[in-house]
Amino acid sequence: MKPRKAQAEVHADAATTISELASAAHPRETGGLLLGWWVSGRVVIRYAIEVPDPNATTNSWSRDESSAQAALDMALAEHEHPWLGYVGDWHSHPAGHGTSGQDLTSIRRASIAYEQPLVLVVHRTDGLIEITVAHRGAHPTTRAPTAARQGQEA
Amino acid sequence: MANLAKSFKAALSQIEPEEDAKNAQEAHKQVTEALEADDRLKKLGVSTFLIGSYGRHVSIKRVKDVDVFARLTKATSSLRPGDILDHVTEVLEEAFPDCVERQHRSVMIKFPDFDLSVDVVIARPCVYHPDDHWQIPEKIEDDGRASWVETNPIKMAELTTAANKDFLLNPNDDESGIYMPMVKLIRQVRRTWVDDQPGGYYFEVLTYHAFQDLQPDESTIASYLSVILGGIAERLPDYVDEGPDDPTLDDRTIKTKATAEQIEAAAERIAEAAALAKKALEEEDPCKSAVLWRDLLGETQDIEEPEHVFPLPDYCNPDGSTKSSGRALVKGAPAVPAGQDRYA
Repeated sequence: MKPRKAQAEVHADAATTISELASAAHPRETGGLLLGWWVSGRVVIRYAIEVPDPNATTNSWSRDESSAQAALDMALAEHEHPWLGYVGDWHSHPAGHGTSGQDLTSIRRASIAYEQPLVLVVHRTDGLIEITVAHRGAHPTTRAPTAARQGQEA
Repeated sequence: MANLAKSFKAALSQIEPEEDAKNAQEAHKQVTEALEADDRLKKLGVSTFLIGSYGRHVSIKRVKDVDVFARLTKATSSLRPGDILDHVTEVLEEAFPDCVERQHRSVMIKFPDFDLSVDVVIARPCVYHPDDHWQIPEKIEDDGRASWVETNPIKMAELTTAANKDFLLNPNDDESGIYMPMVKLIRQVRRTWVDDQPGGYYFEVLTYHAFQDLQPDESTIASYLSVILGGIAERLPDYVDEGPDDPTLDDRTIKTKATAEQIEAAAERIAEAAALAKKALEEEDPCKSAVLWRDLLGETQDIEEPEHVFPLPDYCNPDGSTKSSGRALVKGAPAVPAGQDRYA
């Protein structure tokens, strides 16, 4: 029996934040962390926060451990939410294309250290987002691009 | 002690009169254009200014009336209040047929499409202090005679802006002014806890005095609200016979339609509200605390489907208990991946 594919649920607050931050950073890429929890095989993405990359370009954004951890710590203190924590990354693609091979490699590498699946959200300039779920370094699955709205699944 | 910063931000957003603000701006523009197009008013140097809570950025949902201060900068002491109010009424009736109503001391224009009205208050430079104050018509008697009374609503706008710069939520962020948000929350508490009178402006002035007297230096919205509400509750019983000092005019106090009994009743209710705020602030459990804050701030008013102003965090049940996370729930990770990952 094939294992059930992990699903991701993106809360409207997170989708709105990602859209707004992507617009503000245009034409450069920006990105950050997805905050949420895991429940019954689903990844719940409740909030998104930005982790500015001073070296971001029009086609690249990197997550640096120290600045990302500082942003996560600050967000967790602000939210006081007992279930909240890191569940993945997001970044924008001002050039308009979807999830790249480099993106898949990076989320796959990052997911190796976690028991639960990680999510990668890619925001495109056409307002659509792509959701990729990676688990334990296995080949990740990406859902076709869709409008940012609550309850998206991949 | 739970800060519940996100819920307080959401509460402020919930009472923000976004749609009304756009409509008020448009209504103000149309009224100003009508007044400035009139030759007589042009010669009198008409210059409009938004006053009232909307003009000071301390209004809350819903805004049903907007006050426009129509300054006649070149008017002299010979200007008769009844005469100029008649004239302004005629000018506005021509521009807004069947929507204009002459009031005792102002002219009201209804904007049915916006579900709000604009009150045009005519003002001339004060005969005694022309550089500092303005005068507006007092109630016009049956024989058509009227007089002028001193006022300075523009000063209140200036004091509001200054207070918002003086009191910050984050001392390192000049944009984190807490005075204006606090006036909005206090106005919402008044709507929830006080029966009609005293009105919103009265409580705005009480908030101003509480800030000036207490000079609070808190780090959360929750603690500011508790401190300021406590300050108001302490002082309100002193104003049964005479209102608080008018911050805009020396030796004057704030007038209210409220009777002494209404002030006493309001003082009792605000004391209850302040005690609730103190309890909410001291409560360690965030869900129990959130329910108390939700009770304090009540529901949005004057809208078809009222909603709680203060949202409970999504891990809380409506009764103040914490939702069971169950075996199936795994908290998000407390640490980000080691090293650096590049996305392209």
